[in-house]
Amino acid sequence: MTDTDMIDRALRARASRWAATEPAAPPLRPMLDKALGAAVPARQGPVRGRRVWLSAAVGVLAVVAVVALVAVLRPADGHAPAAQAPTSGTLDNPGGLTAAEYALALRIAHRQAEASAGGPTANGWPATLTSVTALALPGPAASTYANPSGAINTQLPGRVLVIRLIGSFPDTDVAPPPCGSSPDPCAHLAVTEMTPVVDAQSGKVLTNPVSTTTAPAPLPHATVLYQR
Amino acid sequence: MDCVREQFTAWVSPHWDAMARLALRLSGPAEWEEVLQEALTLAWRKRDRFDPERGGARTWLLALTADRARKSHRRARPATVQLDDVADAQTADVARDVDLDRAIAGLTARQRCVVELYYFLDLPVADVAAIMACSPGTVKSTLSDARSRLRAALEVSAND
Repeated sequence: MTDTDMIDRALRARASRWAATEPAAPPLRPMLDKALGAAVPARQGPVRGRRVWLSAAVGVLAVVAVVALVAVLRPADGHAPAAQAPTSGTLDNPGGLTAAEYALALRIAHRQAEASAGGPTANGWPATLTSVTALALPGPAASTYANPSGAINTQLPGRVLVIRLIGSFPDTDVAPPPCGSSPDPCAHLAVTEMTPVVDAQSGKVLTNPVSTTTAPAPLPHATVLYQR
Repeated sequence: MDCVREQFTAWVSPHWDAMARLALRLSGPAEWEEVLQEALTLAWRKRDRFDPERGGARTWLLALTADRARKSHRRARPATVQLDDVADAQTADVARDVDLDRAIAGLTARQRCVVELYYFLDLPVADVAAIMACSPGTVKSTLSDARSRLRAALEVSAND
């Protein structure tokens, strides 16, 4: 018997002894109650309710004021604000997105950002995000984005949206190659760029390659969804 | 809301014990319930993002648990046998367990996670690979590295 077999047997024996003495799992329901309490704030009393309504009213007024201000101060060169759906094929929309695709790209980008870069700040995007750009492309033309390494054969539908988020993504990390090419095989690399490729019809994320490049660049000739 | 909650409870229940065992193994007796609570909260918040095409519920829930244990930045104290117990009757086994638990605690985070999933949760290599988001080959090589390291640590311990 080799030493490795002995370790294997020792681990199995230890696991078996541990299983016999392990404490029972706590009941699920009370912990779920706590989880729900943390995830969805409980409904508060009437004072809290009035505060919410007041905050909502102030918020609506603020949004109206900002929209009016943007309309007045809109620059003469025709660049639309990034959060406003542009018309397809204009200078404001070099990525060629339709209004529906623009809305879809925004939704996907927000979801991706929230999942990977932390919660949104007051402007609706995580503070760790610096840029979000998007392109609408025929499927075959997007293969370099969907499969940058060329390692897999990715089948893409007729039209896709390529979205690139640049920033830091603390909730996502990348393991280095496993065969010891890195000095620390357990080190995790910081992701600086994510480029999800989305079916323009269904909104399904087809691939989501990430990169740890130190100099991430926005998509070329793309529509800007967000720029810090 | 109640309906969604019941569905979620029914969905998590079959895997709850495994989540608890993994939290206990990776986080130690002092913090495991906190890690388990965090994993459950995260699962509830992110339940809409579960994609069955990428793997089963068990894989997803255990991956969340392992992730929370890692992010807790608490170096796991294994589900230890207290040293006081060593003086008790079954000293040989207990002393061996103490040495082995110490050696497991000395593994890298990734090696340790693989060892816990494979040996202590008794999961097949394919499931461990899905949870660790790597290939089965990587799991096997990580296990092999971990066993070598454990062997070396136990040899040192035996010589002390």
